[in-house]
Amino acid sequence: MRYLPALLIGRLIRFAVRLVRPGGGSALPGLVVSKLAPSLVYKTLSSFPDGYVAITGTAGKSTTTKMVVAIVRAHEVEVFTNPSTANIEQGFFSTIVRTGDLFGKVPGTIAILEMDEAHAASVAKRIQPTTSVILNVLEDQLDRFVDPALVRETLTSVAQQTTGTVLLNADDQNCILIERALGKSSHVEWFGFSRNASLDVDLQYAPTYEKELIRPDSSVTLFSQNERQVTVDVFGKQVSFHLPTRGAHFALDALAALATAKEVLGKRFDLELAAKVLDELPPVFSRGEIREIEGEQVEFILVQNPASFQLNLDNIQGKPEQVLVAIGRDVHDPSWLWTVDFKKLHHVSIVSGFNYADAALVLKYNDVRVDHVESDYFKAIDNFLSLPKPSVGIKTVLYSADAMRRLRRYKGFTDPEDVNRV
Amino acid sequence: MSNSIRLGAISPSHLNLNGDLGNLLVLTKRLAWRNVRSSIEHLDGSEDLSQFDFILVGHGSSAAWKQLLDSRSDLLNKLVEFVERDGALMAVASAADKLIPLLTGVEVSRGARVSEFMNVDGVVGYKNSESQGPDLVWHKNALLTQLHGPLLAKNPLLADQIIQNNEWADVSLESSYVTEIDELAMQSRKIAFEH
Repeated sequence: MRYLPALLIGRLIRFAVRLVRPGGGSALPGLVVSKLAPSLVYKTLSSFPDGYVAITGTAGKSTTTKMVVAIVRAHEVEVFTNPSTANIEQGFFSTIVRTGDLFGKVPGTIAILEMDEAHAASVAKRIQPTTSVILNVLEDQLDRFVDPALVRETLTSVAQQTTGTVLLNADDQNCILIERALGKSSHVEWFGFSRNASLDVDLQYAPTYEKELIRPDSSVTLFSQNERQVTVDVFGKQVSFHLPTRGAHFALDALAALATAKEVLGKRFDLELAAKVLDELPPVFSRGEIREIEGEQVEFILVQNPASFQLNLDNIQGKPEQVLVAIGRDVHDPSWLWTVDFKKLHHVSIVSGFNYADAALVLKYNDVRVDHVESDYFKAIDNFLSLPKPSVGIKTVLYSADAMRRLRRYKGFTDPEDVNRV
Repeated sequence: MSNSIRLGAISPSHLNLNGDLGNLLVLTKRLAWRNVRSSIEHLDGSEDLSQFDFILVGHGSSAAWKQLLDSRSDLLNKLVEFVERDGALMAVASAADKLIPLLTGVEVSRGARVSEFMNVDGVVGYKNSESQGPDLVWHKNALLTQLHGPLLAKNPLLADQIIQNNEWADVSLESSYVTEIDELAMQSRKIAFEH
């Protein structure tokens, strides 16, 4: 009963916002409820019989979480999770408003949550995760985190609060340092690439400037990757499947997901079933998602930090004929755009988004041919979609999170689950 | 005027957290638009700096600086010597923190962290630092600043001032492309304060 008034208000706000802005209304109810009933999220997180899994790190959280949830659900376990746009505390509140009853009760025997690094640490101090997954430490959001070493410290505190297993990336020296900071009672499992699979792959982990530590043996290991097809060893058993999206970073997410699902499910874990799930799983929206809009096939690629921009650029196939680059308001300090190597990008049709000027500057100084710079983002979207159909059949959008949200709302596809596998 | 300008960046794989290396790209392009050749060279600090027309020392993490100075203990002295001999240099954020006391005698203390766009005497850039020293100061031919990232892209007048002061090119040579780029820079400076 304690949370009833706050949740009622949250629901009313959600209803009202969605009347005005169809598809919107996900953030404000959470913000209001977090002020009215700040302990609700902790009460909810402590209510799951099997605890909660915190999936965190700089990059890959959304895809890994989606993969883990799909595998665990396929084993007929009821899971509570958050959408990828709701990985901070305010987002957890919004998810409870959306999926719970008026008493704050949400369905599920376990919560599997994507968690922003800093918020994972603050939540873990209040409610300890049963399992934590730390994917990586990259140079990202330096206007917020200042130094990757501080991110590593934050993630170390998440690992230290974990009551069960900590799953870590064996190829990231930052994760090995995190393991060194754990007590002897902590249980750690590793996932990572085999020596062969890691050749010619640079997942851009932040340098630690410490003496290189020996890579631990991983229990879940990538043997090989050919485009989207991967062969993986999971605790001594091999399996092959196709990733939802191409790129070594998505292979890493799959390794983390298999390791996590095995940890959560224990003896119930069925590797063949898990591989089948991953073989059929659509990508998380905007992570290489291809959809048809107004008769045009468009690939949507979210670029959130130097590593994701670089890895996604490097994974673009061929020479895309029509590209929209949109850097939105979420990029508070666009300086990091200048750390990206744009040589793979020869031509951009339209540059837009709130930070259109900075995006255009970096592209032009890097000799990328830019056809148009458009300060009005919605006009840019319309102009881009009305460009003649490219001979390769598909248009490419590279955008930041804010530009993604605005485009999706503008074009009316706001359901994060509404993504097809191609 | 010289027709081949050597631009050097100290340890750019570690001192480029915020894209400071972009400043050399800006200089080399703006020189090319004025028909002057230049090259960008990545330096490890062991080089004879007097062979270079401009040195960039970008921002890096504390750990990166420790590793660099452990292996190049004479680096800061070399940079000071370069500047005192009127070498053209740009030091950004943590690099400025290290060089300002050595060059000017002004101590740089630490305070509350600032993470925002600033306008310092008409120069717009982003500061993300606890440094309480000057945010932008010239010492001889060296620009020492807390404003990180592509400062010269955002402030083309400053870029051209460096080019003009060092007599590398005639910056009065304009073109429609330069005008277009500088218009974008003006928009970028304006947007900086609309966040």
